Amino acid sequence: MARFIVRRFLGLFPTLLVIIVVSFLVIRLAPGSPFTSERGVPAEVLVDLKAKYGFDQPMPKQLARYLGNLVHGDLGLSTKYPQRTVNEIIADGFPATLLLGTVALAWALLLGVGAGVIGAVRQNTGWDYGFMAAALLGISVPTFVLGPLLILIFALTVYALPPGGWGQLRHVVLPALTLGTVYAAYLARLTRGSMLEIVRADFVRTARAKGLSEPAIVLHHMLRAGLLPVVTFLGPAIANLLVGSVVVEKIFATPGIGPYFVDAAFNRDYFLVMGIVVLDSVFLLVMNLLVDVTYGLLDPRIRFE
Amino acid sequence: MTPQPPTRASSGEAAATARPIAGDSLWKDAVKRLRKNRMAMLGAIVTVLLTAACFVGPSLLAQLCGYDYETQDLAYGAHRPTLAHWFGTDFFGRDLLTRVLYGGQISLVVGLLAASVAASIGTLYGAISGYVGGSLDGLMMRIVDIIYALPYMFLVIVLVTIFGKSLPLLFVALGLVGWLMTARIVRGQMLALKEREFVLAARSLGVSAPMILLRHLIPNTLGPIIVYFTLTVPAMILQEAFLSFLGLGVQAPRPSLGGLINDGAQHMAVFWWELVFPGGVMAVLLFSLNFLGDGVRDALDPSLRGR
Amino acid sequence: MPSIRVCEFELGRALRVLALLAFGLPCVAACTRGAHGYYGTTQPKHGPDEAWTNLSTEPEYIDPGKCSDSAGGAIIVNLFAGLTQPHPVTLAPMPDIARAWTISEDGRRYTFQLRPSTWSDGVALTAHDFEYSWKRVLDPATASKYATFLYPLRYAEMFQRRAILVRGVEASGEAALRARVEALASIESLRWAADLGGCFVLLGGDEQGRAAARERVIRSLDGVTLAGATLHAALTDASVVGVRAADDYTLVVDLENPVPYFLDLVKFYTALPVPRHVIERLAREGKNPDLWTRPEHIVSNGAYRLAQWKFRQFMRLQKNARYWDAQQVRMQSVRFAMVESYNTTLNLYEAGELDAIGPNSSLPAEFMDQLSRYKDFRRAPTLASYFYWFNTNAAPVNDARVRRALSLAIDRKSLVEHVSRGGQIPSADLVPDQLGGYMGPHSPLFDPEAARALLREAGYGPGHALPPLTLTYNTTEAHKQLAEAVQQMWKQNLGVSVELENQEWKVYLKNLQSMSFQIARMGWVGDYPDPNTFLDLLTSQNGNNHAGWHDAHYDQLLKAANAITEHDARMQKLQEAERYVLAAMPILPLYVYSRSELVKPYLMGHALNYESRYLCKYWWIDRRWYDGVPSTRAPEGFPPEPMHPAAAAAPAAQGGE
Repeated sequence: MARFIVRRFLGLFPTLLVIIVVSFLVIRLAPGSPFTSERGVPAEVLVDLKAKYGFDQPMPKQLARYLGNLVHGDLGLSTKYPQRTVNEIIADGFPATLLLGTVALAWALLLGVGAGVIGAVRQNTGWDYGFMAAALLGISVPTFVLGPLLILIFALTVYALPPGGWGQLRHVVLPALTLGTVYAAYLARLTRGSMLEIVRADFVRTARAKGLSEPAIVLHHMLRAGLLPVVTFLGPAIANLLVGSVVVEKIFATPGIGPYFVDAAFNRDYFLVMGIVVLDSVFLLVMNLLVDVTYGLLDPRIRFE
Repeated sequence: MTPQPPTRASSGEAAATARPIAGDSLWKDAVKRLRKNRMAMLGAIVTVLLTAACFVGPSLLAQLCGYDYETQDLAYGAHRPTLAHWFGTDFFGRDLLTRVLYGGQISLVVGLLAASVAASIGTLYGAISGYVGGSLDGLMMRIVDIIYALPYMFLVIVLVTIFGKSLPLLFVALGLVGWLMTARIVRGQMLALKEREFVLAARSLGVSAPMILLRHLIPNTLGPIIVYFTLTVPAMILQEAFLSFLGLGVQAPRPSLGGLINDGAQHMAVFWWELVFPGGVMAVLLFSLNFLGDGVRDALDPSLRGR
Repeated sequence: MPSIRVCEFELGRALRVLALLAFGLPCVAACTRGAHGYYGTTQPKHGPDEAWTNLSTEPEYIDPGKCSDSAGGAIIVNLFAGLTQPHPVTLAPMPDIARAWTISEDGRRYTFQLRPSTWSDGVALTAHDFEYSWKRVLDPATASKYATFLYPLRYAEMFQRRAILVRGVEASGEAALRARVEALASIESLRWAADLGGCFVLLGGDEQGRAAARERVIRSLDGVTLAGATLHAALTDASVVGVRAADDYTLVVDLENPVPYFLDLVKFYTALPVPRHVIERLAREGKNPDLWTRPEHIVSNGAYRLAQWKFRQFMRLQKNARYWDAQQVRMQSVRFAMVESYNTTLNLYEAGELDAIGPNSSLPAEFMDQLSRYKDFRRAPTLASYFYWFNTNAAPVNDARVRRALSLAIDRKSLVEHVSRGGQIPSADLVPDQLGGYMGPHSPLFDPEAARALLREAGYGPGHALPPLTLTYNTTEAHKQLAEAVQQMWKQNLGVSVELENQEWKVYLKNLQSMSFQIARMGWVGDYPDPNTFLDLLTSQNGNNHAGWHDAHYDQLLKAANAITEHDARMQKLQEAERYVLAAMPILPLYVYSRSELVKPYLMGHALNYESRYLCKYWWIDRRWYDGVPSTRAPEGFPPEPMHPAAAAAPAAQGGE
């Protein structure tokens, strides 16, 4: 196992390199540049702007320079926010996103896995139908509907929570609920689905025949084996949650990094886009590594040769 | 493109992979079990009705009431539901029912087709990766990681720039990422299943790898696959609306279900019906697909076979 | 989502929740909790000398010389004071740092007398700061996107575009000079400057190649003898630019041509001063001088200074006690949030977190009907036109008759009333009326009969329909709504089928600039209150002319008009130019923008002007609103009487030629 982890870990670097190189090239193919604007910019000014960011250099040289800086942890300058480095921008927004993502994740796990387990154990009962209907509703109500609805109820009708903003713990509640619920709905469906595969498996019947208590069976045997698809889903999902949501952070005016996924692309803020890609990829690759490790823990029969 | 009713699309695909196990009898068994499942049948009926309504409804409304999806009545504007307009009218005075049904056509096709293709590719890819394992598994999964991590918006913008906007490109853009999660999930299941006794037995009997995959392994992962498929359909429908934002996808004034929901969400404080009805249709579609999916899953469940 | 409240009765809170759960959304639109006809709370939530508003987005620059975005501009006008300042309502130029000025007979020389004043750190502000700031904007190394704004200064363009200045040559040597240069590089233009005893050479070719070509040309020309004279060739430097501090408090400005609206130009943010001492100190300390606008370094000379700047969250301005007119400034602190979504903005306004929705937030058309019923709703036209570009090279819109037919087939009144809904002024003219005393030609707004006749005349009719057109717009709800309505109007009134195509913003701009479109939308915000800011858009050289329409006669007309110094005669000539361009119709005007906003009733001294400028120094809070709704309006003392320049001092003798 240890050898597998080390090998898998070393494998992250070439993967990351491929992602960076391909992204770096792809984003330059999109029409328009960071300096394309509604009002024409004098040609001489453009030359200087390009030179400032090194965009006048040949592509391989730019790429080499970027990678060289990246090794030193330097993500470059933003073109949209010209007084800030990408490092500063990410450092500035990441804490908010991280907090929001963590709370949302906790909520999603609690609600999603809980509802899924109950649904599977009590298949085709009122509990099952109730939870699954709620989950489906959660999936069919996109965040851009759920967020405003929660604001309407909790911020503008009962005045319990602020409609947006940041700074205090109460600012986290509504966006985290909004963000977490969709994931909870997915988790509930997936958990129930995979648990049902297990409910009738031989080892569960054996356990039952041995007279083990129902909760023990559920927790020890079914949940562990049934969690495989859930864990698979959770890998990228956690990565997504931790690097932010465009929609939710905009609705609640959260000063996180989520909006950059779209805004930096719209602004053709090349280095900021790359910074986000790097951050996102690192999370994704690490999470997927953890998923593989978890497989081995959940089901000892899984071996990675 | 003639869209298949979702029942046939999903169960047919499942059957195709499951058939070799026990020939016709399994297929017949499964259909029999499916028929007995009341919720699943309800789901099937509603899905078929909804599809039929989307494809017949707009021309019927045009015949009976003279409504179409684009002609405006600016002076009438957005109005709550009335006897003449059951779903109300939108900002331009257009009949919302007509627009929802018309938009449902493209969205059903996009949702079901893109999700089916994504599920098929993802299943096959994940199954091979998980079953073969080793360095091939590592390579295939890293490719999935790479595609997942690339800046999607740029990929779409570049694709549109190079190829121009078209329906096939819409499917490519949707499918590009749709299959990744299915592939991961199936691969995870494979890693566990291939060490099970029945697989080892089959292998020692000299059954070829493709046969083991198709006969034993994929049928045993159908549960998560079907569940994920039913989750992918609404995701695709909403994704199409996002792609229209980038210029790909359905162009105004033609509606799509995702686009209508998007618009409705922006107007919901003033024109609630613009969100409630398209959203309701989407929810109904999702519910029926899920009940149907659950039914199909139960019907094909290997552990239930022969019971 | 803002809960738009329509009815005026109180519904118990619990009842409202119940109703909400039972009926879902319907009750949201129908029920309300009214507060004397205002939208949300009317009790000030913040301190009595504090106002909160919204900037909508993180500004790109708050450096006057580099700024080109409206968010940055909104902050800059409160931080920095220029030679002149706008009147809060009319925006007419009034003295600010310049207490008086004289204009030469020919309208080409402005001499400004500055008042003694200081930066917020106590350092004296002099005419040298203005000279430095303007030359900094023009310096190509600064890479200011609005550098063209100062092109009216003499030789500014030559300096900014890095022309080569060849001295020691006379106009008679043009052919020889041209031949010399052309042997080395392509020439865009030569320009003779008798007062400098030489000639500016602007090289052609692509941007990348020009730098090397310039070096080549300079090297080969400098010191060479041509027609008996020794040439001195060098890059044009800042010293030739027509702005100079004659002494600490006298600024002399020389213009290329008379500019009747020059006093309006100098109040624009690009022309505001920057603190040379801070920028140069940072450079000396080895820091990036671009960072001088960070809160830890910034120094300003206006009514406010920047006290706090939380990236993408808010900026807080604090009264600058060293502003020369500080005793007039009542509001101690103004906070600009950066909330992007209009829904969130409305929610925050309703809850009293914002006292005004801010200079950059726009309200969607759907909400207008409901919002306009509130007492705190205000609306005013702005200095901006909404129009469609025609690509005059693309058939069938390369025919002026087709273009005019398309224009006449749009029911602009209906469009504004039912679609855009924001009180915009339907207009088939390019220039908004009343701009600097200008009256437009008032082209017909809607005439489907005439439109069909024009189309027939162009050869399209039954049997030979107009081929399908494509209308392109950048993806935004408001543009989509207009395009959908226009599409239907063209279909119904002309039988033309139109495809709509939306594109992501940068893709859209790229296609606009490379002329890959047929009909495309655009909005143009005027920079100064003079018709020229719109009419100049269609001249041949203008880089923002996307119609592919180049007309020498029009260029001539506009040039002639701007050479007229007498106001009414000039306006007349400008109107002639507008008539000419509208007859050719490379551009299809739809309406003049208008701004709708919500401002709390207790926020006094706030005016809606046509540039949507928030001039916080006039603001104050009516404290009576803390205790409830007062029965009378507070005496505002607003708008203030316009200030006039002091009696002109004699031109500074010590700073003569």
